Amino acid sequence: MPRHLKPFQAAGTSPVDDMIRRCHSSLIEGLIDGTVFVKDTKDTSGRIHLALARAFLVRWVLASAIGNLLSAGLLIGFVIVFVILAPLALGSAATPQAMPRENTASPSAIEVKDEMGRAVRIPQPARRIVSLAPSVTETLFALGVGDRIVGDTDFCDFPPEAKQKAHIGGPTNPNIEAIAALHPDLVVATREINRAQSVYSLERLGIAVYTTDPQSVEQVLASTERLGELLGAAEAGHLLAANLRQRLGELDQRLAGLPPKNVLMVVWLDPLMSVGRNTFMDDALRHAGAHSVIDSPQSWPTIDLEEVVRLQPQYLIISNDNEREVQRVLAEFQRRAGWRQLEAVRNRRFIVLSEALSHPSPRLVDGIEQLARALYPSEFAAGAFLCDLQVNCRLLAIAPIPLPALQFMQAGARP
Amino acid sequence: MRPMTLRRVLWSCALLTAVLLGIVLLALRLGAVPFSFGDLGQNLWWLVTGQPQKISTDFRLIMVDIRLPRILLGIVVGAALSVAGAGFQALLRNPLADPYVLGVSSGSALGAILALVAAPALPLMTPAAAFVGAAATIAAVYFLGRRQGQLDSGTLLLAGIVTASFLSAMIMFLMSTLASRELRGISFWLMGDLSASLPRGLLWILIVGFFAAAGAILTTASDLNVLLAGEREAMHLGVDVTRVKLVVYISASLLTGLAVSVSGAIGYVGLLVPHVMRMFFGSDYRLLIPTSALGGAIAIVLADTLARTVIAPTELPVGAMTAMAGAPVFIYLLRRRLA
Repeated sequence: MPRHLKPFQAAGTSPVDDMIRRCHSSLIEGLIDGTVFVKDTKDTSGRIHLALARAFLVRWVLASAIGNLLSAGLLIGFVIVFVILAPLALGSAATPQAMPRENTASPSAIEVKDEMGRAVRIPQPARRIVSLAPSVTETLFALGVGDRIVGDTDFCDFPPEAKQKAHIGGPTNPNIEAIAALHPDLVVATREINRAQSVYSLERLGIAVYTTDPQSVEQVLASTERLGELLGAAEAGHLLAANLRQRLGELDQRLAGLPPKNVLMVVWLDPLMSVGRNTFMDDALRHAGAHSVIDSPQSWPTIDLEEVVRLQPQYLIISNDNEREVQRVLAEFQRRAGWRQLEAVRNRRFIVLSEALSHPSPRLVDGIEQLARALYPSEFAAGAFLCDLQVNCRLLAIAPIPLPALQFMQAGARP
Repeated sequence: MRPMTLRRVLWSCALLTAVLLGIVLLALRLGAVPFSFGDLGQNLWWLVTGQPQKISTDFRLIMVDIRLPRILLGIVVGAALSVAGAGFQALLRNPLADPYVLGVSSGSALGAILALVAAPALPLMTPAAAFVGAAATIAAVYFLGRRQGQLDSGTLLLAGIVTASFLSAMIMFLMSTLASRELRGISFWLMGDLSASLPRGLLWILIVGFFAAAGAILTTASDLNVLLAGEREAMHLGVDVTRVKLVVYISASLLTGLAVSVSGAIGYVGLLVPHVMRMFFGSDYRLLIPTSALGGAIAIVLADTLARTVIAPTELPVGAMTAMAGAPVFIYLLRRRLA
């Protein structure tokens, strides 16, 4: 801008100054279009004010017209969309209740509190169940109501029949549409891996969601029993729970008086994660005669390797069905500084278990027995338990150094 | 440069609205449970003409109760983020500015985390606390970003970035120390996720809030054009720079806060859409703001449709999709324009 065109500036705060300022900003628009220049000299102030007044008028009329029409442009665009769509989506709030859905037409329903204390209406009997977690799927199959499952998650792989069911996405990001399309009369979730938000979304659609929240081995059994009662499989539930409790009792007897062995449960390697107290897994370790060296209030605490070295666990435990992942983790143990120096690694005290130990389902007891057997081989030497084992147990015993040569003991086949 | 006429604005918006409607129809059709266009048209017709008794149960449940509200949410969130992005780019006079650059999303995430831990049983607590977190961050950054009593772009940007990284550090700290299992979902939230079904009232609040804040930014559009030349220049040309900056800062932050509190921090849209719209329609803010709103809506509805369908029934977080698809598209447009 040429120097002699000193820009005009109103400095005060009176209404007149304000008006001048506003006029000025409209003059500038003219300036941008290349038409108006104001020379700011004292003797021409009269003309300036005239120009300002005219510009103000132009600005006032034009600005309001253009401004309004501009927003009208924006509005029209959205109004087209919203006028069509919004009433459909928002206005339909009242209608769903007006039209009873076929699946709520079941003759009777009982209102119960689920394990998070929320009231849930469960139809009697529930015929179309969707499971939101592998452990729930396992529990339902164990209760003998697997045939009533109409959908489960991508990760439900036990028992093998679970893979045949319609999948509704992962436990943390289930597809609500896919669930709704299955017309379930009950969805069973677990607080351990599902999100509260999924539960709310389903409930808003009028779908009953029962949430389990077991935090100890006994609670897993109690939860299973309760689920059996609610699903009309009370008999099966009581039998199952009684059987499992008996097995746990026998195990307790067998291990009574033996000092617990210090173990580190390796849930995840990078970052190193283990189990905290107040989790069903910590309790499961206790039942198997193991004592987790980690004592954390978090469920899945991240652990510093230094801490592990200080605590020197006697055994490292992995619960994983993925053979390659297990091999990788074992190789890492022996390769990495820190891990390599661990007493347990040098003595090759690794225990590799199936995922039974990491699911809060009736199968957990299998996992506990596998672990106890691996920790106290001499106590089980008679082999009395061998036939009881339902699940794959790969026991990594003290083995020669090269990894591929590590020997796996098959202690039973998967059903 | 062609003059900015009302006709041009209306035509541009009409064009984008047509595209948006097409995308919405596509989004309605696609999903874990596919419907044919025939079914879709028939049922929509019944719905519009007030014959809801004819609509099939499946359609009501999946389309009306799940898919349509989700698409609407996507439209509002996308429009809000893009308008906010355009606003911040003008306010900070920085092409890299996006709605999250001043820490609104981090503050919002912190609020959401605290709500998830403190009141996991109250579903509406999370968006409410997220919005409170966003508002608190907006206020804090405002006071930190002032210089001699006025918002200073440079100071604001630095204060915002530092606040954002401080809040992110707090989030990481909380996530690794809090014992709560409810935080599992927070990674979805941090990535941006539209799958939460919200009560209808909240959707209305969002729509009204969007129009109020976007309208406020639109009233400053011609001033923002002048502001592009520089603050001193704009001030000398008679723009009330202080007021304009304040209006844009508050409105853009509120838009971001609204969007983030219901959908998490969906990345890239607020950064890329205004730039893409500049390439197509020029950088006049009077046109850029409405076209950004529509463009953002298109981008998010499209991204969410992809997120819902690529590996159905498993859903991807929409934020992953916007970043994955947004970056290559933007690079392509950028290079094509340079060529």
